[in-house]
Amino acid sequence: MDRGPANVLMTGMTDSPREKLERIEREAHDWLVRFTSGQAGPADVREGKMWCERDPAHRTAFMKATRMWEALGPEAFEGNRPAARTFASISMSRRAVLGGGAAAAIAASAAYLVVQPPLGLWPSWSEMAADYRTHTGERRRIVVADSTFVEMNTQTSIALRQVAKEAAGIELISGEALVATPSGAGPAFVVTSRQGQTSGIGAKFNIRNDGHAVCVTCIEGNVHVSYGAATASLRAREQITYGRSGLGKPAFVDAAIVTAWQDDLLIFHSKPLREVITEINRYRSGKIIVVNSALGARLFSANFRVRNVDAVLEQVEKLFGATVTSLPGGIVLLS
Amino acid sequence: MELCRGADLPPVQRPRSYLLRMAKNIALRKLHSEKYTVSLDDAKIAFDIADEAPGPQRSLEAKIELEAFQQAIRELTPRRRAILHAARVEGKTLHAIAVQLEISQRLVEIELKHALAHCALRLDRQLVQRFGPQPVQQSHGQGAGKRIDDRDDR
Repeated sequence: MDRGPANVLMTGMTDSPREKLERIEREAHDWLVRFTSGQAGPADVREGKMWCERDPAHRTAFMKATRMWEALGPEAFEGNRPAARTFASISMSRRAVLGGGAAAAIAASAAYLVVQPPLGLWPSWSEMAADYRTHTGERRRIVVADSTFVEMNTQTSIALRQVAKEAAGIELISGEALVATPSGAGPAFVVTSRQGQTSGIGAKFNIRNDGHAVCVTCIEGNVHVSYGAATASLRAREQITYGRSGLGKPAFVDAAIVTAWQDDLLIFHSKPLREVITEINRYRSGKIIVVNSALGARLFSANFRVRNVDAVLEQVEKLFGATVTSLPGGIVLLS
Repeated sequence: MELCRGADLPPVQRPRSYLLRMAKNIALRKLHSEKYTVSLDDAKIAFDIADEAPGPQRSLEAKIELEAFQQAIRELTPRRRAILHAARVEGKTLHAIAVQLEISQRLVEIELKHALAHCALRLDRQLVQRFGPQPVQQSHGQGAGKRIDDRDDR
């Protein structure tokens, strides 16, 4: 890497392409650099908007500059990547740094947190009150009461709850978790979710609260589910759902599909696209919205890696000839 | 004003444009929070610049663009190339680049702007070579973006 005062002077004196640009284009580049600096604020937007509106040529120049920026992607660097990696190997993208800067991000988002976040783009108040929370695409393992293992899937909120004296437990406020409880004497570990309770000794079960209903799948051992006055016992590979219409009936399922998320996999077998998208939205920031209801009813089969969920959009585009409209903020319209 | 008088509102006629506006409003609301860091995407929404759908008429232009930029990047000084790569491809902040290269943020900014200027000049030259001097700047600017139409269901 060339660095040091000699080089600064050299490059500065020998080559100043910027001076050959028109004034408007120079200003457009100033705005572009400001908005990609990671340090621009709302005041810059207001000022930039005024600049854009002052003269149609300003707007055109800014559009040209943003287009150039977008075209200067990895392809443009093909064969010309900076020689030595001058930067630390794995770097978080700017988006990730800004979005993930834990304390700062929470402080900033608190200002517009509302009880019912529009499009579910932000966590609701009850989710913020959780003891443990996973972000979009995150998975996390926690140990509760010394010996119960809880693996949390994406967008999951859990609070610690003591149901009775010495009986430890958690509340699944939202999301999905795989719970492995210890065997032996003592009170069973209880998972509460939407007023229902699931417990088991030496058992392993998957529990999911999607905001409308709770679905419990027994993986190993025996699991006891109670909702209101109704109760049910599940053996391995049995699944039950409860919600507004009460406690359902146990049914056999493929446990491997239910717990595929543990291996970072999403498996769909002839599922309506609508349901597939609902599932995918849990793993990606922003939101995919199916605008066309006929499209939403089409059946879809595929396996995806969780970190590669956006590949679904390409598939849908190819298979069904759908139109994909990408909006800023990760919002995607399928029509 | 029309909306206030109507007793019963008609159902949403164009769900797609309705959603577009809704998404835009959500993004704009974020901009009102002073602590929020603004990205280029946010600025594009605020300035009403929508992404282009890649159409066949764009593919030739895109190919010429890519050739021009590849050449431009080859011609950059190593430092300008590294800074442009870090800012654009790796998505690093100017501050992070400055720390990493042990130079001032001001210098990073100047070098980045020179790199961008060089790419812009190289593209203009390439387009002039292909299409002649006049129509290029025009077609380039006017076809460059579409406005999100707010008025289509008023």
